[in-house]
Amino acid sequence: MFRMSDDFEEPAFNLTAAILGWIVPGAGHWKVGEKARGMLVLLGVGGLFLLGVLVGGVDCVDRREDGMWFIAQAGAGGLAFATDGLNTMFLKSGRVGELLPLAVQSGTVMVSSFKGAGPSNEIGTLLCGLAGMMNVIVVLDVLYRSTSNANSSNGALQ
Amino acid sequence: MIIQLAYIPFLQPLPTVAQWWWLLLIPACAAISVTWKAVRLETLEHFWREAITMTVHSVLAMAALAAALMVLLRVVIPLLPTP
Repeated sequence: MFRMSDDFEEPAFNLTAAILGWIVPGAGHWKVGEKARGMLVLLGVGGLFLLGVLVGGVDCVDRREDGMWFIAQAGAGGLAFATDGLNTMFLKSGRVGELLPLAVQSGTVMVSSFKGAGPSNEIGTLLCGLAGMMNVIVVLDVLYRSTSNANSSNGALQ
Repeated sequence: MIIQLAYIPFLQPLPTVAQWWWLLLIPACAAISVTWKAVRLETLEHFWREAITMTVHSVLAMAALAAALMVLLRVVIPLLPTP
């Protein structure tokens, strides 16, 4: 027989923590009191993203040229937008490296001599995209995470 | 201004990746496992054991898939009768 429970809890909806967790991976869990989880998320998502940028260079995150990939990478929030900014600031402006003419169908465009091509660029782009998608999972987790057992769940990592 | 050094980390793509790109599967699986287990485990008491186990399982599964595909392409398909 169905019985209503007296100790029914409203499901959590931590919008601020989710937004924070999108901007800085792991910060959302940190905000709801799950500091150890937050550090581990930062290690996982941040490590994967940095590995991608190390392999492909900052050029592997490009909002204008690789728009579809950037949708996935943007899941890593601040990391993706900062890397795209660095790409524009250093490589596309020619501040670092050299701008070289490249013939395309519509004419000639100037590209950085540091622009990635081949497997390193592809793998870097993929790793950054994976990091972004993992952070989307993390953000969804923190959005509905109950904070009642936050202290106990930190466990042995403390 | 032209700055051209041998290799500038994070600005230039890593050289020679084409020869050992498949080894990047291990750190990628490790990072995904750390993130997944950080989110999914109720307590973090056995976190590292769980994360390492998931990493090993993922890498072995990928290696098995690669081996199966190699057998399919190099052994099974050449045995098929040609039309």
